[in-house]
Amino acid sequence: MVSFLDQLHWIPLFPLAGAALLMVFGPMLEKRARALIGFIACAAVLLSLLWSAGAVFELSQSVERSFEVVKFRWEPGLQFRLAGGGLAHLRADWGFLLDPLSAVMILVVTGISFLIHVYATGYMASAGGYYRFFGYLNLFVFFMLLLVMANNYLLLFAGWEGVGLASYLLIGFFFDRKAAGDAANKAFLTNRIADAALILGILAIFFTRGSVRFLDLAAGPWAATIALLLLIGAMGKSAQFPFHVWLPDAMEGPTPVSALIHAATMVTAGVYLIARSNLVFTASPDVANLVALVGAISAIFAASVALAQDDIKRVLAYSTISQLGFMFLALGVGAYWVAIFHLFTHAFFKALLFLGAGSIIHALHGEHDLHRMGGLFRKMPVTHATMLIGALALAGAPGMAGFFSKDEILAQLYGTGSPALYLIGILTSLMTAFYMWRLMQLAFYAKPAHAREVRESPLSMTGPLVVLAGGSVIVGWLGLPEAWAAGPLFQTFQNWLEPALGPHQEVKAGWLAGVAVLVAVAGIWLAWRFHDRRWHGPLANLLRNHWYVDQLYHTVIVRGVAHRGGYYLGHFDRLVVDGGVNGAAAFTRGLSRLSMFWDRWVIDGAVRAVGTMAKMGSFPVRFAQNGSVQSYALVLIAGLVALLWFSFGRPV
Amino acid sequence: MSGYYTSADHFALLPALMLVLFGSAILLLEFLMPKGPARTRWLVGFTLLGLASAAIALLRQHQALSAPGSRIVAFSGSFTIDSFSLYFDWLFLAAAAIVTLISYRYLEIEGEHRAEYYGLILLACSGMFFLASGADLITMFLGLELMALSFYVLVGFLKRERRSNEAAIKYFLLGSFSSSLLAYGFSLLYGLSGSTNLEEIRRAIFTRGSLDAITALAMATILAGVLFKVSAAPFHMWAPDAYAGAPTAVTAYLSVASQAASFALLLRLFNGPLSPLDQEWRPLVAGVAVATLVIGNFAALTQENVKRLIAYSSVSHAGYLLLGLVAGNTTGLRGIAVYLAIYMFANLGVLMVLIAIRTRTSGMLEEDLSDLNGLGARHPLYAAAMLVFLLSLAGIPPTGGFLGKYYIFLSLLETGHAVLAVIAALYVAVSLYYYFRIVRGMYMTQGEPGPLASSIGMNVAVAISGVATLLLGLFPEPFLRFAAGALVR
Amino acid sequence: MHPVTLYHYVALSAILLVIGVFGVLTRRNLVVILMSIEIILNAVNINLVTFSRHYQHVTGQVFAIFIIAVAVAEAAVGLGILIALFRNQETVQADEVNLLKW
Repeated sequence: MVSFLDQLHWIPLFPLAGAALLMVFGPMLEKRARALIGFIACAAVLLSLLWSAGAVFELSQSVERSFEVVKFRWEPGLQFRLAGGGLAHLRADWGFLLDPLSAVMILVVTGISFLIHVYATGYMASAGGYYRFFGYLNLFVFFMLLLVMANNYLLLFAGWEGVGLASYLLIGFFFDRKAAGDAANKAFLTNRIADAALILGILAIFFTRGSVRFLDLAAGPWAATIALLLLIGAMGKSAQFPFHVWLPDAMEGPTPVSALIHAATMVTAGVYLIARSNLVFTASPDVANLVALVGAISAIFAASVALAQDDIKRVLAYSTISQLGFMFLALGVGAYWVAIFHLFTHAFFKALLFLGAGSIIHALHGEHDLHRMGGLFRKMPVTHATMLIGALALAGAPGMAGFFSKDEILAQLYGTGSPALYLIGILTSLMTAFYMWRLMQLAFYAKPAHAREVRESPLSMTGPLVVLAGGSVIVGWLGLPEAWAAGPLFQTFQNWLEPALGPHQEVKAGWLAGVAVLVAVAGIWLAWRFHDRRWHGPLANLLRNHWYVDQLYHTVIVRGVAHRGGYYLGHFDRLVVDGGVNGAAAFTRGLSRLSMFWDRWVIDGAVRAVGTMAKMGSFPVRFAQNGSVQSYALVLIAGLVALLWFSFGRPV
Repeated sequence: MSGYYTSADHFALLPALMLVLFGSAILLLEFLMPKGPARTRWLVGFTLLGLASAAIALLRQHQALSAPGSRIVAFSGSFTIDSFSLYFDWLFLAAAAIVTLISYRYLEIEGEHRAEYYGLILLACSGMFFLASGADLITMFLGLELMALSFYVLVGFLKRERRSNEAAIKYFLLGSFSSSLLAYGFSLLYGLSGSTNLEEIRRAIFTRGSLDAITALAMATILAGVLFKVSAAPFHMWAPDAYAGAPTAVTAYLSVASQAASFALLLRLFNGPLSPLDQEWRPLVAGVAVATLVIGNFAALTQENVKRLIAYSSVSHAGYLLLGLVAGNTTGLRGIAVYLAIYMFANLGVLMVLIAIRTRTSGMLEEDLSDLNGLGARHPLYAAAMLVFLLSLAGIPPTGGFLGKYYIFLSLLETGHAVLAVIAALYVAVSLYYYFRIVRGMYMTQGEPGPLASSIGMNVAVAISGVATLLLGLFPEPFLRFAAGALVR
Repeated sequence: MHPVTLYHYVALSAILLVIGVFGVLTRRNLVVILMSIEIILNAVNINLVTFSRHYQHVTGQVFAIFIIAVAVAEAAVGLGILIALFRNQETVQADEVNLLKW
């Protein structure tokens, strides 16, 4: 019998084979059998998903919770002298490691990828370069699997660069759009800086420990340096402040790409890297604090920016940065399993939200502006229903996936971090609920701001939405706190990850969940309230009736209470609540404008300055390279004189 | 001083001798060769035959030197065959063979398909053999000049092309200028030691002890001369012009074989006679290496001409190689050897793809970056090969290029040059940007469909280089074991 | 009268080197630049022959003869390239040859 576990290497090989097939036969199929292209791409990922599921199942049945398959040894024979004085061989095999951590990652990657591939067959149906798109997408899945399944840092780095390349190709997929090309370049440049740090980090690991295998990693010398370098690398890939600039611009790519790469999988590679290297981070508390700080800044900053975005995909992009910030917060306080848990749930609902947004954009023929949407509630029932679930999950409505994972992060912040971090987390949650609900209202419930005939998307697109929506509801139940868990099933997640990430700490404070719920409700209510003045017409009435809470408020509080009470209440409502809401709105507008300003001028400026510096840096070179052979000779002699000066003429 | 021309001398000289014989013979025999398409086959076949016979002679030397550390000293100590020279000789032969394969179609298109070209390729190759084996200033200088003079002509081989003329005259003037400075340094070394033998010079400098004005002048002029040959800043300025104007096949040969031979010379000199002065030249070389990295990478960033871009990228590679010399330990020196071989296949590969897309009929004469647009859709296999070559140049695993960089970086860390390692790693990031500009053009823009100037030789060469680039990354062990011997002893 | 010593010859050689370098840098005619390079090679030769006499053996002279041979080859190749250039461009002025730059 074939054991999935022994043949682990097939998991990444299927998508690679798919990519190769598409690249070679794609041009031929493009004209004659477009359906076959989509089929090959989906089948490759499905095979890989099934194989992963089989392998993870076998892993769960075995006693040994870490399984390594080395396909061939890559051991360039020479010896190196290490920092400690010992001699070591560089060894970085083509080996794959399946342990609880990578098991979670491969399930997320293959599962979400498969759904998004199916979705893309519908979304990209009329786009040119169909085979190229799916070829790149399959290639991305291959590299991503390489990244999460590698058994050493070097192979991880190969995957790391590979997903960068695939992302670069896919962001710029619509290469006739200049913005797409610019965005691709920006993503590339920003990531390069971070990748340089990662290379150095890996070098430092080898140089001090003599091995780049994950299983050989231990705390030890240079832990802080290594952790810092890995952190910078992770910040680039996971779009953390101040490296986050590339992610919103990367939304120029096709929406399935945004969902797959820039929400569910690639951007979480940084979280994975830190979780994978948790020993060095635990050994250097200062850097761990820095991780938390980076996460906190990214979380609250990106959430505040998302409040004022009008492009539906940009709202989601900033939201992704903010949620990744949450994961970094969890990593920073040492709650590694919680970070992975949030990564897991986030992959579902954020992919769902992006795909839903894609469904809207598809239906509106490429419209991204939230203010030109509206009224889609009845016309796109499936998209609406699934996105509502996604939005509630992200906002942290009780029972949804996002509720449990985010609540656990907040609890960990409260339990181990400082109160300030907890406060930032709460504030971010409030904003999250606010902007998500604002998005929902503008897109679905507001008066239609367009005169288009809108039709629900085809089954190939709504199908994945429904599956993801189901996931967004149930996956959270796998990681409940001990107090709520009715059985071990509800604690699958933390128990599963224990062998890889260490025992989990339980924070026992039941009221924290109450606070989180309150905050989510408050955010949603504020968003609803903030748009109250736009609340006209039949759609608004319908919603009011539909929403029992509102009816209740009217009957029980306004009418049920005496006229005077109602009168004062009305005054209270108008003066205090409206005033407060307006004030808060003005404040948030100001805040997000400030953040936008920072983003646009300081960060973009910095990126642009790097570009300009490159041009300026090349200027003197080009200036000297003026084509005249004698100026070359002059520089040569100047060099000789300089050599003489520095070797002998220099005063001792 | 026994005997005039012993059998040991003959054995040591045979590979280079074969190249000289075939190189000269091809000029004479051209008149006997048939005209028309058959002529191409004869010329290429004869050239490859010459390289093959040199390879056989080299193989016999290889067998004779199977014991580690053994060497053959010939011509009264002025010519050495050791594992260092053998390693480099194989590189030169491989480069010459690949260049022969990619040249003929190119020369036919340019209308300059003549026997001299192959004669010069072979003669340049024999000059490189003398550089790698030289143990005497005279031998090395003659080898250098034999190589350089052949290259001057090769660079200007497209006589009717103004850019080729200009590249040749610039390369010639600057090259012979720097050679004369090098010769001046050699003459001072001779004056200091009374001998032209490298080992005796080393002993003389060692006993001399501290650095005085004459030694400093000798060291500086030699450094300038050799750094010119390896195109290190600020002595690199000939490279972009010569690379851009030369026939692309010659650019390929120049950028890899001449570079490797010059590094052989550099290693022989600086780990031989000048090794007692290493405290003096190490910081200088470090400074030059950093300047080379900066200038090469930054200038490449904004280039629109692919050949100039590749020229600046070669300049930056020279910077990495020099860092290996700065580290100077076993890892660093092996790193240089490994790096050179890997760089050779990748750079040859990039340039041969450029040759393949350049046809007279499509009117591409400027080698603009946009010529590569849409190559991914038009010729997927060539584009894929190009991608592999570029990844290797950029140093991304699992291609070989990563290995070369890795050795250099590690040698820097081993010797405590952490700052240099950081700088070098940062410039890897910069270089990725311009290599990926090419990738971007190939895969993400649409270009006009054009025919390929491919040929059997070209396809074979692309296949060899591509497979070598990948294999060196995936199964480096046998190769590394071979390269490990390439140390100057 | 001072005797002519080793140092005088080496000084002469150094002066010739500087003259050659100066010529390469300042003269505009490509042929004259080539001649300046030959002057540097002659400086080398003077050094070699001087040292050869100083050490009382022939190695230096052999080197010098090789350098003369190389210089001849260089001149031949250089003038060949120059003629090809002149055919196409009708100039031997260094500053008019600047098609390739940046």
